[in-house]
Amino acid sequence: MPSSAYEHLHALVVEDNVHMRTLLRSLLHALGIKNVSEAADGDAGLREMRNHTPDLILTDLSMVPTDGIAFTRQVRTSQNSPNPYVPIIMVTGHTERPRVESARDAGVTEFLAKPITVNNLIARLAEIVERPRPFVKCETYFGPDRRRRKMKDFTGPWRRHDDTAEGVEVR
Amino acid sequence: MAKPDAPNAKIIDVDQYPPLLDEAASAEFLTQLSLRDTSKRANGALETKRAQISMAVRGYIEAMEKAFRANDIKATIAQAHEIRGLAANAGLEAVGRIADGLYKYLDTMQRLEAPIDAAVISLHINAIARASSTASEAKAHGERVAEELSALVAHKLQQINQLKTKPA
Repeated sequence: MPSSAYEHLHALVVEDNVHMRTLLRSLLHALGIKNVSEAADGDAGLREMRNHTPDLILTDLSMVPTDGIAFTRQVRTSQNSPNPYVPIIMVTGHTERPRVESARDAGVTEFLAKPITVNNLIARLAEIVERPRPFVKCETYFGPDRRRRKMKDFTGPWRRHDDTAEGVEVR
Repeated sequence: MAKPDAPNAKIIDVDQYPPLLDEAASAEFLTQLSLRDTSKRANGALETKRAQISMAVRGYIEAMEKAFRANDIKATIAQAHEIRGLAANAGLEAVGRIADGLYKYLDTMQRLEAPIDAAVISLHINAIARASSTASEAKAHGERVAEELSALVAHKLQQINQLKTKPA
C-alpha cells in the first residue's frame, strides 16, 4: 500500500544514452517517484506509453530514429495518444534557439538543461505540479500555453479572439 | 488592430483536463521536493553515478579518437554528442564544453555540406583528451582551451556562413 499520496506517480524517461537514463531514473527515485519506465527513442517511448500510461515524461531531444520533437508531437496530437495532456520535460544540452523553439512548438511543457542538477530537476517538477498550464488548441498547435510572461504593453499582433488592446491576457 | 491569425484558438483550462495529482497529493509532493533531506538524497544519487559516468565518458573519448583516425566523421559526431551530454555530470565541464563546440562545428558543416577542416577536429580531440585528466591544472587549462576552441569554431562557422550567403 502506498505510503504517500503521490507514490502512484509514474514517469517515463525517453533517452538514448543508457547512462543518462539510469541517472534520471536514480534521481526520480531519490525525489520520491518510484515508478519509472524507460525507452531508448521516441518510437519505443510511444510503445511504452501504451503499456503504462505515464503521469509525466522526461525526454531527450536528439534520438534516432524518432527524436524528442517528433515524439512530443505524437504524444500531443496522435489520435492514439493515451494522454495528450501529459507534462513533458525536455532534457537537452542543445542550446541552439531554433531547436528549442521547435520543441516548444511541438508541445514541450518544460526544459531541463544538461548537465542535470538536482535543483533544476526539482524546480521543473515543482513547476508542473504547482503551476499547470492551460492548453491551447488551434489549427497549427496543440499543447501547453506558450505564453508565460506578462505583456501589458503588447501592441499586437493579436492572435486570439480574447486578446485585447489592454494587453495580452496573462495565464 | 491587426487581424487575429489564430482567432479560433481554443483554451482548455487546467480544470478541464485530468490533473497530474489531486490537491492533497500535490501539496505532499511539493513538501517532499522542498525538504533538505530530499535534495541531499538526490545529490547522493548523482554523486554515486559520477564515477560510472566518468568511465563512460572516457570510453566515448577513446571511441571518438578511433573514429577520427578511421576518418569516420559520422561516428566522430555521434561520440562528440554523447560526450557533450554526459561530461559535465562526471565533473568534466571543460570536456563537455569542448565536445559541444566540436559537435556544433561538425553538425553545421555536414548540414551545409561544407568541407570539414581535419585540423579543427584534431585540435578539439587533443584538447578533450588533455582536459579529461583529473589534475586541477588540467581542469584550468581545459577551461582556457575550451574558450579558445569555441572562438575558433565561431570563426570557422562565420566564414562558412559568409561563403554560403554570398551572392553568386
